[in-house]
Amino acid sequence: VSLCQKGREIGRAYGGKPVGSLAGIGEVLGKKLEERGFDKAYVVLGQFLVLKKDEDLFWEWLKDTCGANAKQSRDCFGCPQEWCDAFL
Amino acid sequence: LQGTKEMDHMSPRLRAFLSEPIGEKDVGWVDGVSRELAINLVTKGFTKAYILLGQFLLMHKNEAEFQKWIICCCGATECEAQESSNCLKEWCASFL
Repeated sequence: VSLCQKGREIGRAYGGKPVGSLAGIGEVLGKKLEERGFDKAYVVLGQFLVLKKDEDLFWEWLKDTCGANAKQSRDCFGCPQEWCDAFL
Repeated sequence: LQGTKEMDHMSPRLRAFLSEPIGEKDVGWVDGVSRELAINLVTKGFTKAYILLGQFLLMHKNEAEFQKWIICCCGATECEAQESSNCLKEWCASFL
């Protein structure tokens, strides 16, 4: 698989980076996610995949888990979506 | 993929799984997932390979935990559990 530069950058975000590094997830939401066991970006990616990449379900989950609002969830959703376009 | 030596020890199925994007491949494409296990997984909603990958990531890529889960909840044999967790682990190593 040949990876373009952007693909590599996105891939690195999911390597082992903390969840706070995801778009839309700042310090406050990041901490709440960590408390619930979602400590790394790739764990949130896992959740996204298990929800079959459904944006509405992902928002519901993010809202319930850490109180994210619609904008934060949209921003956060963009990340795994882009990753899937590049790697899946 | 690095190291042709490692590739030589891989089953053809594993090599195939790692050599191209998994896209919308059915869960049966994951190395170690037999036809029977695939039916069980599909019944539980794990219809695609990427959903099983998601489960692996949710378990923090912990192979032992994943194997326990797929044996207890999906009726996998030990061999199937080991092969599928290894397959997903290898995929993560290549793409994450």
